[in-house]
Amino acid sequence: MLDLVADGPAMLTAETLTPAVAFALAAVAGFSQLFSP
Amino acid sequence: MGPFVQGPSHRRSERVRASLALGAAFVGAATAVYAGVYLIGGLVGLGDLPTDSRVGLGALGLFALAALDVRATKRSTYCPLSLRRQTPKSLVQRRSATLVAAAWGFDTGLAVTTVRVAAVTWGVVLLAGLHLSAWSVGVAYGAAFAVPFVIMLWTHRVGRLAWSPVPVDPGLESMLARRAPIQAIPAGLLISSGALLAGLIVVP
Repeated sequence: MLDLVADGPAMLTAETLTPAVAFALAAVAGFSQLFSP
Repeated sequence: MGPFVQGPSHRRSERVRASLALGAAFVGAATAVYAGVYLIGGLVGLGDLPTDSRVGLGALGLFALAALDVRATKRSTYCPLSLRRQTPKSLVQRRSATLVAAAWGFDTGLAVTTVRVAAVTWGVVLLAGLHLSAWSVGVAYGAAFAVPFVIMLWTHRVGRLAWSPVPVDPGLESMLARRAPIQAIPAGLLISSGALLAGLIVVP
């Protein structure tokens, strides 16, 4: 389904979306540590 | 760290140095840890798995971590997936302000060696290991902590403890009391991110 040749646009979506998700999660993770003991 | 920066016992240049050392050490450590996880993920072949497999594993992992955060919030505790330790406070008595700030920044910046507020840190580890993030994702983690933290060091009332002639509420308790609502944000983000990743597989 996400194969590069068979389904190029879907692959592009996964490849571009997941790093953006990871960066958002990382930013929230870092900020949440401000509230650590 | 507050008294270091706002206290009277250090020159302004020392305070600036300590702040910069803390921020740089934190961001550097965070970047190194997540880049290391990314590297290990490549070495063990996780990065070579088909994209839909990696995305599926990522989604499952994020849902599991969200469940841990929801459980921790209900029990009013911190993330169970963390070491119950902090950087030794005794360093303050033995080393210079800059060195202590750098050591504290590095230790806490390593992301997995101290108490975690939320499991979302591990979500980023998971995505880095699966090569679903860039190797440099630790920069975002580091900056999101270090920038507001250094600003707080220079402005928050906790630093006034060092020189105020009257008792001052450091404000730390009120900050820690906000932990529960703060934990809810990463939990919600983990669930929505997991759903987004699952959608990449389900929806062509």
